Parts: sequence; structure tokens; C-alpha cells
Amino acid sequence: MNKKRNYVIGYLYLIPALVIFILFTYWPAIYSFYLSFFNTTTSVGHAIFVGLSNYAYLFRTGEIPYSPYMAFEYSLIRFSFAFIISVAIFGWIEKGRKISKNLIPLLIVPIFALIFVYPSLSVLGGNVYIFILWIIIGFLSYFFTRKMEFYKSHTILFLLSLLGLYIVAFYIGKRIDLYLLFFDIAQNNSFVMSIWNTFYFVIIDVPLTIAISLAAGLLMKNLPFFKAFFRTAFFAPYVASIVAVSLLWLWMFNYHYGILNYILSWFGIPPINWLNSASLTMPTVAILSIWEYFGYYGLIFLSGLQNIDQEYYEAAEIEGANSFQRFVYITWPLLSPITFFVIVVSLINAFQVFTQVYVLYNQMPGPYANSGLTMVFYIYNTFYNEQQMGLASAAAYVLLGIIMVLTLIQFRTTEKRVEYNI
Amino acid sequence: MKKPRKKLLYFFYYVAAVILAIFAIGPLVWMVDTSFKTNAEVLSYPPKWGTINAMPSRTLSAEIVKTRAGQNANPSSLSLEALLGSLSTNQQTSLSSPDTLAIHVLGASGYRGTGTMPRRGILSIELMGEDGGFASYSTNFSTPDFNSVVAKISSVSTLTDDVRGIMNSLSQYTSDPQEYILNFYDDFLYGNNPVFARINFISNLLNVNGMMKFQDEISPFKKGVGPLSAAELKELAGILQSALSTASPSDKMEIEKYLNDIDVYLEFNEFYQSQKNKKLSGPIKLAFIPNSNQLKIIDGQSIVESAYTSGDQIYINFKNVSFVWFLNSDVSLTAHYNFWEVLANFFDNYVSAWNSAPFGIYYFNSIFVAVATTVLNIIFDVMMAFAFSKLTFPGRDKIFIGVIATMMIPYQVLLVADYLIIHSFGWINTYYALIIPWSATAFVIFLMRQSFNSIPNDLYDAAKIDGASSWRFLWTIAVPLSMPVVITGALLTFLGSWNSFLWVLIMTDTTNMRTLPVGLQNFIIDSGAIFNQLMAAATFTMIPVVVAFLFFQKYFVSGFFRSGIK
Repeated sequence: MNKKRNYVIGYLYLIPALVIFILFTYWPAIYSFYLSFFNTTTSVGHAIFVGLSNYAYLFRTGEIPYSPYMAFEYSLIRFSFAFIISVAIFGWIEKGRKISKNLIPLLIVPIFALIFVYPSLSVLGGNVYIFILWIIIGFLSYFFTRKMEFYKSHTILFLLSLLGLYIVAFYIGKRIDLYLLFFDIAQNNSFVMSIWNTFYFVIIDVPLTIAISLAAGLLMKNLPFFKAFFRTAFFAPYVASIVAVSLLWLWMFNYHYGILNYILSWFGIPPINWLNSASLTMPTVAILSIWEYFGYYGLIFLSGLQNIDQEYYEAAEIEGANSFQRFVYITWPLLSPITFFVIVVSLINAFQVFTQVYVLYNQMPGPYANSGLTMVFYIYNTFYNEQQMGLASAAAYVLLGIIMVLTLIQFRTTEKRVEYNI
Repeated sequence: MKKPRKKLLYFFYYVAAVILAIFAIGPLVWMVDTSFKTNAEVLSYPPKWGTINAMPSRTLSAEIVKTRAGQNANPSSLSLEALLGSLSTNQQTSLSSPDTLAIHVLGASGYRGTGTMPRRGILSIELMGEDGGFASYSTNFSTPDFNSVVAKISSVSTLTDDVRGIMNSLSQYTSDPQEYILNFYDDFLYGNNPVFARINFISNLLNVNGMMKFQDEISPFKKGVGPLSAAELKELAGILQSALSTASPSDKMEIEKYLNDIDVYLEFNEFYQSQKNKKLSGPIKLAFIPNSNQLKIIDGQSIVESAYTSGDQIYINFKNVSFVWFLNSDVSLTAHYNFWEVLANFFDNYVSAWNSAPFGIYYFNSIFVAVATTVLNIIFDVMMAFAFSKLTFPGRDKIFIGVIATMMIPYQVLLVADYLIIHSFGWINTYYALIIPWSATAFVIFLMRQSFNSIPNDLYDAAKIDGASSWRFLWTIAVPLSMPVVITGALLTFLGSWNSFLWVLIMTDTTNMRTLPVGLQNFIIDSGAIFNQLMAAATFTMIPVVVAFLFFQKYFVSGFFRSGIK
């Protein structure tokens, strides 16, 4: 009786927060997923079930200038690419692990294959082809992952064969270049463009953020004096709102009067047209984001560094390890759980880039040619301006899927390294 | 051996730290710096630190409006009434009476453009004569002398065609000396395409047959600013005299014409200068009156009757003195400010930015929403974290993982569905939409659970034995013990709510419900690129969070460390 009463009390404590999570997180997540199969152009109340068409529409390829034969040839080459890349990645992840888990290759191989083969899909007959492809890929990856023992120890071999294949492919098909292929599609399909832009942003933003914030964390840990000052200084940008901060950088990036171009002029660099160049859109946004967040992640790194037992360093010092060695053999491995956390959080954060673009480019997705159209911008635009709830939900789920897959890969790759218990 | 290396290492650490700190704070400092600048300073290159807004005085470059044409009303600076008035007469209507001197303020020295003359403080206007002292003027104009001079210069017949035309047209003003003087100088020196425009006049002179051999002597006069001065013209006349003596008879006529042009001007100019019998003894000092175009006369040098401003012009009405006496004067303008006026100058952009958008409403909304969200968060998150940490019930850990998993879902993914749900509740454009969905945060729950975990279970058991309810234990023991983490959580949710943008943008569409970030974004769109005001607005939207952060920083950081994100 008393036990039951305790249970009830426990649930009562959960109720307020849980109600909020259910109403505004769990239920919307389900509802969004449900909506992504409906066409809501007329009204949400009279949504029409359209199956996977929203997703198909998002990834439509448009006209691609290939004959079916060329497309088939390219598909084959690209499929080989995808396979080798994914097996190489898998081999790298699984290196030293005893039990092979089939989940990862089953995800990675089809994803890479799709990325590579997808550009020529439309020529080869669209959805049917995708279906067949998935079956083939599923079968092959199952078959190969069972023999993973061999690939695990030959990652380098695979990377080399990848390079060789690339050279061959380059000579066979002159337009095998992945970048060009995607560019072709992205010209006709703004969602593919948004994925492209978002990845571009993430690839610039996340590694630099991690590197700079780790440096900031190490500095905050090791400086003997003025620690508090530097801590406050590094953290200050994070406190400001993104709108205000984007506005500030809008001023700093100004072509004629901006201080950034002025500083560059000290080094004899001609002024850069930061805000009016399609190729610089994402780097510009990345500079802003790195500036805004490095102090925050630096503080997280610092908290991790503080938690490393000082005895390790003392022992290393007795052994005569220099500071570089101490970093490589003590700090880096012991910090890996924090690094993992920061990577995941900054990755999720980077995929949500929106406000910076919105403010810097005056509510437009970049200066021209959709060069600043990120995935969240696409979702916002489809939902808020075009009122296509179903399509926006589908796009949102693609974003969620990408984040989930990347996080999962991250979990798997670091699983064995994040076992230190500090 | 070891010590110096360590010192070197620390030196590098500090260099790196300083570079990073400059990277982090530099932009913020630049933002605040820009927010105090004048428009002209913002749009100047290379950018400079500091601003003349902080100075107790500033020199403004200005020029006297010398022609009638220049005194025409600039429609953009007129009131509607004045504009209609000027349209109803004709386009050549002059704003000023013959006794009015107009001074065009170009801007603070080094910066061109309006907006560098705040409408406050005291203006000190120094009218300088050609001799370097203060300018002179006439109080007893002699009309007979004027008539004789005019008769004399009108009788000269050998003139260039230009000057002949001028003299003919001037003859209509012989009854109105003031108008005559004004037009005379307008045609000879200051108007459109005047006779003694430096380059033109010298080039014309060199084109005269026989003058080419004097090129070396004449050409240097091309160098200089403005029209040719009286002294220069006298020198030129000397050269022409000597040219005349050597020229062939056929060329003589042409050279004589130019010589006479100069003589006519010099003759009249001498008369004009001779009429000036009084000298200003010091600068004219005028003070701005708040909310008025009128200027208060502090020191009128006994000739100023009234003064007013319009746009970037200052108009000075004289008592019984015509403004034509100051045509040849240079003007130097200095504005002086007392302490309060300097302060007002300094924060000018803040005041204008605040007044040009409903920032008061945005501010209230931001504070209300952020505080309400934070309070609810603390209550709900503490309860949930406590349940996860200290209470036992079936499914506890599963629910915990379920809650933690929400951290992985970016809220933008849920935006569409959230909007529809909130819409169905009728919460669009209400505070509920901004507060309730954010009143529980998974990350804060996670931090707090970690912290509660570090409180020994024995303590909880002891409290239970003493008869304390779990509720009482939570708020009187557990929360005070975890204060740094609670403050960290509070600060994080406050920051999140204060800086939230996309959510507010979508869930509200009226000014009354919007918060600072969205308000600021609207302000950017509405105001265009006035970066000093934009930076001022950006600065005052940040102040509360910056203050909160600085104030709670100690707890915040220790909360971060205690939470032990592992």
C-alpha cells in the first residue's frame, strides 16, 4: 500500500514536465511524421494522403543530361565508390572490435550508395530503380559485413583502391565529379541545395569550433593568472542573442566600411565581398557561428579538463613527458567523453543554422542563387511562407534523420573510447 | 634548464589567450564603439576608434551661401507650409530676406555629411575677413559714391563679350545697390561659370594671340582654390600691362579687353571694401533651443537680430546690415557642449534607436517571458530531476532516457506540428505560446539529476525519518545544496528564452507580443543600414543578459563543473 503511494508520488513529481514534453515534443514528433505523408496545400483539416510523394518531391532530380546508358554506367561506378567508402569507414570503426554489428554497414552502405547513385536515378526510371537498388545494397552489405574480418585490417588498402577507382572513373566519365553532379541537381531542387549548403556549413563549422574551443579550454585550464578574465571574455559572445550578434557581424562584414576588410588591408589583402558572394555565404556564416559558440564549448571542455585526475600529470612529469606528450597520451584520451559530447551537441547545433542567415542576408537565403538556403531555412520557408505543412514536415524528418544517423555513427565510433570513468 | 622553458611556454599560452580574447571580445567592443558614433563617422574609411560625440566641442566645416541660387529653398528641409508657399510664387523664390546670411554646414571636420551637428549646444560662428581678422561690414553706405562707381565702370566699353553682357544685365540693378553687389560678385566670382573662375579665365587668357610667350608667368595662377583673388588679379593686370607694351597692334585690342575686365572688377571691389567701416569684435554665438528651429542669440555682436536653422543651413538675420558685406568672408564654425549636452550627444543613437521602434514593449515582453519561463523551468525541472534521482517507481529510468532523448531533436523539426498544436489551443499571439512549451528543459533536468545524485541517500532517509515529506526535503535541503546547478539551469533557460528567435517569429505576428530579438530584426528591416543606431539597439538588447551573466558568473561556472558532464 505504502509502496503504491510512493509510486504515485513519484509520478506526481513527473507530471508537469512530462505533460509539457508530451504535448510539445513527443506528440509533435509523431504528428509531424504523420503529416509528412499528407498534402496540406488546401487546409490541414482536409489533408490528402499522398504516401511518400512529399519525400519523393523533396529529392526530385529534374532533368539531367544523361542518356540511360551513361546513367547506368555512372551508377555502377558510383555504386562501387559508395561501397568501398562505406566499407572503409566501417572497417575503420570496427577496427579492434571483436563482435561485428551489422547495424552500421546496413545504414552506411545504402546511404553512401544513395548519395552517389541518386543523381542518375531519374534517367533510369525513378522510384522502381530505388527500390531495386535498396534490395541489392541490403543483400550485398549483409554479405560483405559477414566477412568484415578481412576489411577491418585493410583499411588503407581500401582507401588506395578508392583513389584508383576515382582516377579510372574520372577518365571514363568526364563528369563523374560528385560536386558537379550535385550542383546540377541543386540548381533545380532547392531542398538538395539546402542539404548541400548545410553540410558545407557543418564541415567548416564543427571541426573549427571543436579545435578552437579545445584550445580555449586548455588555455583556461593552464594559465596561472587572469583565468577568470579569459573565461568571461571567451564566454561573452555566447550570452548575446544570435540576432544582435548577426547584426554586429553584418556591420563587421560590410564591404566598404567593415572593420574586417580594414584589418585584412593591414596584410595587403584586397577587400572581400563577404555578404555578396554566393561561394562565401556559408564560410561567412560559419565565422560568425564559431565566434558565437566557441566559448560555450570551451567551458564544457574546461569542466572536463578539471575533472582529469592531477595524479596522471604528476606521474607523466616524473617520467619526463613533455607537454605535447602529456596532451596526446593523457589529456586527449581522458577527455574523449567530453569531446564526444561536444561533437554531438555542436553537430546538432550546426545543423540548425538559420537565424544567422536570416539576419545577415535580410530575410533571404543568401545573397543570390539560394547560396544560404539551409535545411531549417527550407523548412521555415516551406512552412511559414508557402504554408505546405506536409512538405515541411517531410523536410524536417529528413533533417532529423540526418542528425540521428550522424549521432549514431558518432556513438558507435566513440563507444569503445568513451569507456574511461573519470 | 627547465624553468626558462616553462616560462617560454607560459608566454605562448598568454599570447594565444590574448589573441583568442581579442577574437571573442573585439567584435563586442567594436559594436559598443560604433553605437556612439555619428553617421558620418560610421561611414568613414579607414574606421577609427572613438567618436567626436564624446568631445566637449567640435569644429564644423561650413561655407557662406554666396549666391541667390544657393539660397533657394531645399524642398526636403521645408515645412509643408513653407513648401506650398514657395511653390505658389515661383521656383526662384529665396527663403531669405536681403538681411539674411545663410551658412551651409558641411559636417564635422574630416567627415562630410549631415548629422554631425546635433541640435544642442552653443554654436560659435567666426566670420573672417580677407586680412585674417574678423570680417568687416558697412553701416553707412554711400549711395552717391555707389552711383559714381557704377557710372565709371559702366562707361568702360572695351570689354570681353562675357563681361559686356554682365555689365548690361547689371544695369537693371543700379537702383538697388545691394542687389547690384550681390549679382556683381555672383557673376564675377561665385555664381555658375563666373568670369574669374581660375582655370577658365587663365586658359582664355592664354588663348589670346601674343599671350603664349607669357605662359610661364600666367600658368602658375591656375594653381589655387576658388576664384582668383583681388591680389592675384592685380598681379595679372601688371603682367597684362607689360604684354600690352610689346604686343602687335592687332593683338593689343584683345589684351586690352581682358585688362579692362580686371580693372572693372578691381575698381568696384575697391569701392566695396572701402565701404566697410566696422569690424566684428568676435564670434557670433548662438544656442539651440530644444524642439525649435529658432536659435537663441548669446552674443550677436550687436548686428544679429534673429537666427534659425533648417536642415543643414543656419540663417542669421541682421539688424540694418546687409549680408552682402560678408560675401567674401570665410566662416569657421565651432560647436560647444556642456557636460549634459556631451552626455546627450554620446547617447544620441540610443535615444533615437529606442524611439524609432516600440522597444519598450519588446523589452517588457522579453523580461516577462524570460522570467516566467525560468521560474516555471526551475519548479518543473527540479521536481522531475528529483523524482529521477531520489524516488523509486516503475519505469523511472526508461522515462529518464525518453526525456534525455528529446535533447537530440532540434525544435525546428517539431516547429510545424507545434504551430498546429498551439494554434488549436488558440495560443497564437499569446504569452502562453512563448512560455508554456519552454517551461521544461531536458538538459537542465539532466544537470539537476546529476547534482541531486551527489546528495547522499542517507540524508534523504534521515529527513524522512524525521517526518519531512519529500516535497519539503526537496525545497529546503536538496535545492539549497545544489544551488550552483539550479542557478546554472536558471541562467541557461533565461538565456534561451531571451535569445529565442524563430519560435517567437512564428508564434506571434503582432508588435505587442514580440520579444527583443524579433523586434530587433524588424528594426533592421525598417531602419535600413544606419549602423550606429543598429549597434545601439543591439547593445541595449544584450545588457540584461550580460549583467545577469556577470553577476551570476561564479555560480554558473561552478555549476557547470559540478554537474560533471561525463
